[in-house]
Amino acid sequence: MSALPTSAADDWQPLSPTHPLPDPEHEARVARAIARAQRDIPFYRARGDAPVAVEAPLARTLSGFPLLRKSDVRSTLPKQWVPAGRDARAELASGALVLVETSGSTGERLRILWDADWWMRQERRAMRTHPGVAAAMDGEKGAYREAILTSPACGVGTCHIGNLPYEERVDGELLFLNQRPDPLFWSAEDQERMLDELQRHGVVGLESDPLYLAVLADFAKARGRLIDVRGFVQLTYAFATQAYQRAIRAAFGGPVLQLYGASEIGVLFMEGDDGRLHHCPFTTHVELLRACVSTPGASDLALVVATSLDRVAMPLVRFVVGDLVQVDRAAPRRWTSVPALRSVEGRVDDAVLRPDGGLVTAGAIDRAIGAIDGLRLWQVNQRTPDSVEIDVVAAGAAAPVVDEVRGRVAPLFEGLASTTRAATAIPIEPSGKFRVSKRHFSIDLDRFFEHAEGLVR
Amino acid sequence: MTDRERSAIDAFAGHLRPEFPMLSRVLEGQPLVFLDSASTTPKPRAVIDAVVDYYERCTANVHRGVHALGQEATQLYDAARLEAAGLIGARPDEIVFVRGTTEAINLLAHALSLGSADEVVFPASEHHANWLPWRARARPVPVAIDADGVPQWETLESLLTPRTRLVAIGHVSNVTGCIAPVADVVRTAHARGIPVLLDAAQSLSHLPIDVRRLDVDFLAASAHKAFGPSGVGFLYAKREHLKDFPLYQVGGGMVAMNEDIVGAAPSHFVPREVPFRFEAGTPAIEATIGFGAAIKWMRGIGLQAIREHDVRLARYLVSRLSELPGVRVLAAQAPAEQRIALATFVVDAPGMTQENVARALCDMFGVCVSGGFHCTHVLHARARLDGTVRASPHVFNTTSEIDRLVEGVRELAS
Repeated sequence: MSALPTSAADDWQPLSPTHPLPDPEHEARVARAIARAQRDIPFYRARGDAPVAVEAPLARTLSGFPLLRKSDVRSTLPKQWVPAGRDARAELASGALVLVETSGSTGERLRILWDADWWMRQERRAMRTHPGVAAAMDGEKGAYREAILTSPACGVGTCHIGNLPYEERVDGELLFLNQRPDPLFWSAEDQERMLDELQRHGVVGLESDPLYLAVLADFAKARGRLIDVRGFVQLTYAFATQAYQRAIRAAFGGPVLQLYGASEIGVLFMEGDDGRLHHCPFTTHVELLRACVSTPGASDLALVVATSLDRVAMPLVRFVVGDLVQVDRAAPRRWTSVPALRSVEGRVDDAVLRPDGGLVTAGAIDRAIGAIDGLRLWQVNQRTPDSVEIDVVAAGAAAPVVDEVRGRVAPLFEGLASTTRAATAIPIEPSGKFRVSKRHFSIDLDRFFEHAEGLVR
Repeated sequence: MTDRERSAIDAFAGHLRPEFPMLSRVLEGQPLVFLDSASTTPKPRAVIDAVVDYYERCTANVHRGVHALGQEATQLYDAARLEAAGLIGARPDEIVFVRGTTEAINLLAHALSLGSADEVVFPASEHHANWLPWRARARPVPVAIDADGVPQWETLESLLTPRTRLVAIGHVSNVTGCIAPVADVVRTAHARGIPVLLDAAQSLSHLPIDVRRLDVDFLAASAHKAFGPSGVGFLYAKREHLKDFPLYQVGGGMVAMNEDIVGAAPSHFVPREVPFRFEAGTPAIEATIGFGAAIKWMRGIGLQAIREHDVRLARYLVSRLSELPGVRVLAAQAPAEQRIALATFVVDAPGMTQENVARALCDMFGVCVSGGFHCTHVLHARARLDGTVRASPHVFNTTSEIDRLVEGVRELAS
């Protein structure tokens, strides 16, 4: 049963567990959420921002608040983020609050607080914005059972869980498939087990990291098997390249959807039946700070900044999520006043900086090379402002794929010394995720995005 | 050799030499001429920086640390495995990091669970690292060699029996510099269902290697002969072999779960996945990171470009030494295309052992070469050689340095 705050008094009322409705009060809800955060949360109290004018236009209200970076949060957890008067220690002990380690996929890891059940509540609400997923969750494909395929909770290298039996990896309707840190080191037996367990669990919805599932799908195809999921696959956690999606679709014939969110803030956008990513109601407000530089290969590029609406502990106001998106302002806005997205373009830390000041996103690179036949994995590293390295993993002979990649990225990386070479794998991050693109130095984001004053990443 | 070829050697080497700080040393008032890369290569700045960077910025254990430094170190360490895999066209889960080629071969010898009746076939020219592990665990069956230490490959097939468990060959001889006919050996061995080990200690930094194309079952190599630090190397094994390897050393780092917990009867422990289950204990972290940097550096130059330089250098080195009276170059007739830039030779210098010659080259001319038996006692005995001198240039060596070696040898031989 979902719930949402309905007033400034923080009354929580049940939300229909079926299809969510558009939220005509979205902007008023944002103002109330900010006012509540200012009132209740020691971090904002200590910062001393001017009180929010609830009746003012939302844009003006938001512009009165500084952007919130992970580094602002990191050193003040948990006490500064629990509503005044509540006992963080007691609530963590009771489970009313949950301490969560975020993935730190850019090296910026963060511990955060979730209200009990908050994540599941808002995620399910977001997923239901897709009518096919809602129908599947309501039993169209049989009793709803879900599997999760991503890094084990322990992340990379410090995992000491051994081999947990199926029963110990099931939590209600949820099955956690993976228990090894790096999918590139999965054994054949482990992959057979995962394929078997999809069947055994009667999985209707599979939520997966794209690369993890691509690896499993490659294995399944090689063994003449399929990804046995009755309903849908939902890709999240990381950037989904065309190559990953090709691999997945070769072993799974059902819908493959994108869900975009972040552990710190919740699910922001869910793919709709029109192929666009639509902002999900009641969980967040999203500002899309427009790029003010050239963005070769991407149009209407924006930096995502989000404000939480339904968090009691750790409400975030103007939190810099750190992702780039292509906005589709012409698409209908289905649930809130936030525009739809054409695509998620990867982390801003992943974007390659050109000598002419332009930014090249992971999405732009993938559009340039993603359709190359035989391309399996790739990673771009920009270690210095004047050079870029591209590692290419091919399914078969590497040389022709490397040559084609080299040719196709040349216009994107104009002015940069570019090295393209064959590889047999790309490295996993400490978070257990894979990055297709990495910039190894910081840039002043306020030079690149409107209204991004003071942001350095 | 034409002026054009000499210029090509010098241009290639001249471009790379500034990257090796050690090469600016002066020995006894003479500029250092380093011609001992078959023993160990000098290290380029990229490798030195990678090691120092680890010490200065992120000294931490790997696969254990949850703090930021531990994660940084782990990333750098793991990246080296991908570099090693990429260099030879393997998957990263087919690469086991070990201390070097010697440990790699010992690990394989352990994994094959050999008995005294099992036979391992290898050329009599092999380095001790590819001899003694087989001697210690099985029955060694050497392939005969000629007077210059070159294996008589045509006899290989006749040595294979139902008891043959492995054919183990050096990719490049550390004495003659000759490249083994790997494809023929693999074809012959595989026709009888016998796996093949390639000892790539001398080839890793000289030749492009693709294990899929060569179809070898195992490959052993060291970092320190490939511009990386000492103390690390790897064993490549095809996945279907590696998954069946018995555990090697056990302890921290290789275990996913120790279930001897409740104090009752011991239960068991769950090893980590391949290849980590074969890497117990804290590894040579900084050396491995440096190895990754070395491979990246080599690949940045291009192994094919290195090979082209190597062929020219081999031609120049062997032809110049061969023209000297009183000097015998082993396998001098082998064409440059079938060898690396390495020449082992005997100097007829009255009253001097070959070790004396090597020392004199250093002390009198600033030329560093190897002298002695190069861990190949059997080869030297069968070739009736009481030691040899070995010159092994690499990417940074110029023709004028070869000329200095030649002038030094000429002086000593006269």
